[in-house]
Amino acid sequence: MKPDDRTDAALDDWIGARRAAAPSAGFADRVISTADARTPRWLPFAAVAAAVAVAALRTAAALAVFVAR
Amino acid sequence: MAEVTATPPGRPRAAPLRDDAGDARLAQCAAQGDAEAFRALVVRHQSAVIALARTLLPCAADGEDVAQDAFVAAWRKLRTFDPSRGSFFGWLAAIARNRAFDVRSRRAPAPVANVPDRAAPAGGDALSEEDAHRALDRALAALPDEQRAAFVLAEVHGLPLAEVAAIEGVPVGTVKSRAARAREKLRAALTREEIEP
Repeated sequence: MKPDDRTDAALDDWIGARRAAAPSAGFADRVISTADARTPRWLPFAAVAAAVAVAALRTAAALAVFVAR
Repeated sequence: MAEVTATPPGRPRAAPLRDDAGDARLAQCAAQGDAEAFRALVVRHQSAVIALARTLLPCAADGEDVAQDAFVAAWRKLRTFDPSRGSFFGWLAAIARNRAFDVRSRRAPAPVANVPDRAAPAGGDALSEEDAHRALDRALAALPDEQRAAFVLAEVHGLPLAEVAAIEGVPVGTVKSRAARAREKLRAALTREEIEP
């Protein structure tokens, strides 16, 4: 093998080795529990409240247009 | 006629296999609060994201913490992921890259000292695989941030140059030249180690 080819082969071999790293046991569980812990509990309620508010405003606007006519 | 490709410079190399369409579907479910879909994404990409963080950080031991932070950040902003603009892995890699550089900028450079100053060849002209990997790790750590990021994202993780350009906020040509310069420096480091044991 020529020196250049040997260098390229060594580089490619290293690239392959650095492409993935084994996670420690339970990594995915830790991610999920951290993500869950950092998600504000009020967020789903806020989303529902916002949707209800938007629907109420739309209804009021439609009603106002209807009464004006 | 010469073949024109948009692949990174250097020898052709098999890109990591990824299921971008499957990732996009899982991301869509996860964005609606499906934690199991998000878990599937974590399991799919954990090895690559940890490896990416390790190669971008001065201390490889921080890789898993940064990867965890990146996944948690991804979970919180999943609604901003747009599959028409790139792959899920590219989007996630951008988050991990930014987290890694944040950590890097907050800390003084040091842990390269944990690695022996020079690789110790096992005998003969050729370096052992372990010595070669050590020499390349040191050379990668010594690269300027922008060259290291371009090389790691494009050549190690096989992201398309256009995605790397979007992550780095530079033209594709700039990514290409940064990755090529990085590769040359890595090759040179390896050659030096072989010639001067």
